[in-house]
Amino acid sequence: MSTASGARDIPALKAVPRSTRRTTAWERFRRHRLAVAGLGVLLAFGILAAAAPSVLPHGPNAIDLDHVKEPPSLSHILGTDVAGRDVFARIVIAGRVSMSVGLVAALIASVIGTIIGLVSGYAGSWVDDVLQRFTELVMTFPTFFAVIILVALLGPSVFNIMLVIGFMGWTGKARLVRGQVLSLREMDYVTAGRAVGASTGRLLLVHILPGVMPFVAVAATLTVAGAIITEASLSFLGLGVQIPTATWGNMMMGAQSLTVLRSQPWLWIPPGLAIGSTVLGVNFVGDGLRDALDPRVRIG
Amino acid sequence: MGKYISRRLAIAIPMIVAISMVTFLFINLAPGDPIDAMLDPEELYAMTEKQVESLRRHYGLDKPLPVRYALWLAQVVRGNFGYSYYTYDAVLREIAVRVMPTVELTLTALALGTVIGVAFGVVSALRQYSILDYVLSVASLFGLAIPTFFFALVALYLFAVVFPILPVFGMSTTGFFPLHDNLYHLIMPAGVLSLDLMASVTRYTRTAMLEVLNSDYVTTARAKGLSEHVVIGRHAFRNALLPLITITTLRLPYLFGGAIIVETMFSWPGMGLLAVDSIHARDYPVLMGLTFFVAVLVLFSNLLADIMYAYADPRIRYG
Repeated sequence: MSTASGARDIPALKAVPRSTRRTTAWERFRRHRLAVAGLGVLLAFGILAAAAPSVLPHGPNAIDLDHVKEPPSLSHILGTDVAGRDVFARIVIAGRVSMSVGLVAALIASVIGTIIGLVSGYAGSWVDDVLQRFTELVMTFPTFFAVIILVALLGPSVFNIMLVIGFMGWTGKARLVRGQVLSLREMDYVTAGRAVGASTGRLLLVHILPGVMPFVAVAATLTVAGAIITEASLSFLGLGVQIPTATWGNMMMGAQSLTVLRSQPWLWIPPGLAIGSTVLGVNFVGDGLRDALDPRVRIG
Repeated sequence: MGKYISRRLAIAIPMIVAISMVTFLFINLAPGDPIDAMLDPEELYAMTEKQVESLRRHYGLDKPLPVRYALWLAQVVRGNFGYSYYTYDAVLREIAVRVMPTVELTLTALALGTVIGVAFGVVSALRQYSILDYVLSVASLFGLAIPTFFFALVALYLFAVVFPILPVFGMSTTGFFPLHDNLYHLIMPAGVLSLDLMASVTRYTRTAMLEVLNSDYVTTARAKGLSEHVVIGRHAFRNALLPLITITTLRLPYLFGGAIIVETMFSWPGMGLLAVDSIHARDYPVLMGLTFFVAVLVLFSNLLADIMYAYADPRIRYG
């Protein structure tokens, strides 16, 4: 692409009305049937979790010692746990914690990763070197190992778990953004922006960041999935969110005993399926987003 | 090549120092000071303020953080990682006996996941859009979406409850280690641990093989009249697999994360189980030693991967 044609591209891009661009992205997303199904599953879980208190016949923490470890029945469609709490109500409420941990952790990771990647890729020279070595340093601490230790040291609150998973999960995003910035900053429209005297901040935020965002969005979606699995594993080991707050992971803790595993499958199979379908849904949405947002697809 | 390796090794040294700093900072995030963690609460309660103060001085805890780090590092360089609060044994010895079980478990899972994953991926690509391809693709999607601990529960349910054919506990039936008994105990934990890697290797290999099979040089090889066997085995397969070195090593930290879960659930006496036990016991010196060790292990396996890659791919020449 020559400088002249690049300069012509700027008004051409601006001429496309925003709404049209969004519509085409949505249309591309809609064509990905699995992504739509995934979005449907997530929305169903989300709506159920939001509307839970008014819809569910039993409270998630209501202890009923007369009906302990009961198999599924009409009054408790997924049975009850060791304290007579309704398993279905707990799964629905647990979705709130599990999904918000996933979303917030992914948001933290994406913001940190984007900032470090932008600065690293744009500044270059020693700043890039230092940030690259720092990223490598964080990567040498295996995520799950670092997360269990940090959560244990800071205290296993939902807030701390979100923070720690977020702070350990940005490295991939930083590398991705850096790579994109390296190629974007050499593009003609960025050079043109620099030539007309745009400040570094403006170049980064107005010219480069929008080009990076689709990639960050796709990576962030996959991070949500990873964070949900990390939180579940942490809570399953008893090192994460503490009972009585229900999460899909800590609901399955009881299944570490062979008795529960053998005779009360309703205590561990449904939460496992909830995690599996949510993560699968999130991954499909990520695939759909990739198709819908990938700027290379739009150019080609 | 030798120059490249020595330069990479030279970078590793400041990295190890940085790892030690991060590790030290990690453990100092713990609320309270090590004296609280070290002593029985009753013992602590019975002590006078002066006694606690002298203990604190004895362990150098009255000094500022950078000085304490320097003191700690001076000991670490001599191979002294401190003593467990719980067993009073040297941290290094506590960790040393846990290394081999973890290496045995993760390397077995790595081998299983890579070999089976590559086989699945190649078969999937060669029979694209067949029922087998469809089944393998769906299975690998599920493999990535379902957490390791749930697979472990399902495996336990199938092979310990419904068909009680596999042992569920530890590395051997008795304190002795006959190889066949050890391998028998390894089947379930290593199998469960390999699933996640297997799923991602399957997906990667399928995509890479399809891409290579559609490339010009494969078409040329076919046009030359080479047998399909040679085309796939010598031309397509090798090129598709090269990046796998990087992919599997990048997944090593995840594999270790999975090992923590699997070791805990199957009572496999490795570093992961030691980490979880030390967290429950608030055994900070052991946690500090483990964090340091694991990070250094990852650092060197990444280094090994880079060297292997440079060796395997003649296009890469490092100055």
